Amino acid sequence: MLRSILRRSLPLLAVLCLTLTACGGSGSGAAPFDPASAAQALQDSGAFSEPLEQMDKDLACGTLYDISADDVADCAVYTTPTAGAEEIAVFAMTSEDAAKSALSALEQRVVDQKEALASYQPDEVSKLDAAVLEQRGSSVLLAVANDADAARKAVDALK
Amino acid sequence: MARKPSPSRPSLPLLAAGLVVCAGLLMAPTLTRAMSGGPEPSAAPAAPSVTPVAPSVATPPPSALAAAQSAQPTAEPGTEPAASSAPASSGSFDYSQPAPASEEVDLSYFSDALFIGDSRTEGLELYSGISQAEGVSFYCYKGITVFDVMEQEPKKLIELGGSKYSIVDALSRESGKYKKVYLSLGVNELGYYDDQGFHDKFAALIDRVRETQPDAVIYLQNLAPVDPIQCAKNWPSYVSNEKVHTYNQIFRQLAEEKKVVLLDIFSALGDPDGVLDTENTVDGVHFTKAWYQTWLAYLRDHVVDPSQL
Repeated sequence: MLRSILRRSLPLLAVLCLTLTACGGSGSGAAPFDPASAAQALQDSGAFSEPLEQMDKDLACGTLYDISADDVADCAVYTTPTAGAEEIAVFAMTSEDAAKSALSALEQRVVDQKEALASYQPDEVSKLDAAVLEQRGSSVLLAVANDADAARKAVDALK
Repeated sequence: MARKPSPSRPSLPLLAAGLVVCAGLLMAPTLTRAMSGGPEPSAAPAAPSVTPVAPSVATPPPSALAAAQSAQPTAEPGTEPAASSAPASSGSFDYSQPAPASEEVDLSYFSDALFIGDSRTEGLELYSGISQAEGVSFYCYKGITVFDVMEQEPKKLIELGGSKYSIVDALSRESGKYKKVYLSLGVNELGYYDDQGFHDKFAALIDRVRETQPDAVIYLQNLAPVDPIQCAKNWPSYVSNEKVHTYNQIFRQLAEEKKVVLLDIFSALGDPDGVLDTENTVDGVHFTKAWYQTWLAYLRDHVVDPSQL
């Protein structure tokens, strides 16, 4: 009888297992972003039309984004010296909670940039409207690109 | 920029109503300027934004330019700011000339410095390496003009202690904190045609800085040139070195009038022909990372001892 119960429960158990593995965090179970390789993949994707310069962690945390440097394990941040919208920011945080806060900070960055650029370089606002913003476990990614589709494809390809 | 799709054709009465409204809107600014005798600066920054701003109808009074050319400070009656004017100079500094070269200072010199400016000052903060000076502060914003800074109710752009302040209110909040204040504005005003207004607003800003930061050396940075080749591709025609020259004459006048230290950024970052070299700019106006570092290098070896002032 026990064997019969187990045999009938197997499919349900299998479904439960698959569901639990998918609940490891946002991103359908994909591994967290590795900042350096994610940023490189984005730059290689052809999605960006402006020159990009790398920012160090101290500038990224506090000046660009309201993210506590103590919660950052690693990051790769690029901005454009044209003062336009194009930007790459990938953060590996120390926890998922820290990543949630970082995601909010990146969302706020997009809002602030839209406000700043609306009258200054209005053509740039559409790039911000199509920003790629994603959390995967304890990591977050922001990509504001000239070609949002190419940026999205590059991010989706990251495993 | 992608074009937006055309709207569906309206009915005839609606079209007529729309034409009447448009005609009224087009005529209103002209009527307003004629009645007021002078323009208000455009709400939207004129340059280097792609959005063009119509030049003002009123002809700017010649006093600002004439005074700059003669190097005799003048002011129209009633236009001198009521706040504290230039202090009596006790030192030997010649305010009619840009700061001479000095010994290079350590980055820590900027630890009690405040930089007020626009997107190029933002670039200085992000790309020059100056942010390694712990404590250095920046009140800068893309597209900002001196008219914006000195508006009756200026926008709150600066976050301090969890709250937002306008630049002038931030100066008051941080009263006495800074020993050096660097000013760099003007490139977003290249499309404005109100030279007297530019002069007067800048004078008022300098007064406000002096009031709130009484121990600070005030450095007034003139405008770097632009690259005409890239500007022709990227920016409206009023983004030009002709206008840069006009404003730099006004800066020279202001430095003498207000006894502030003029920094000749134009010469520091321009080439021998007086333009911004193509290889030093990313779009004709904003600098490359390397050129922002050149700007910082100039600031580091053009400092003035307060006892000279």
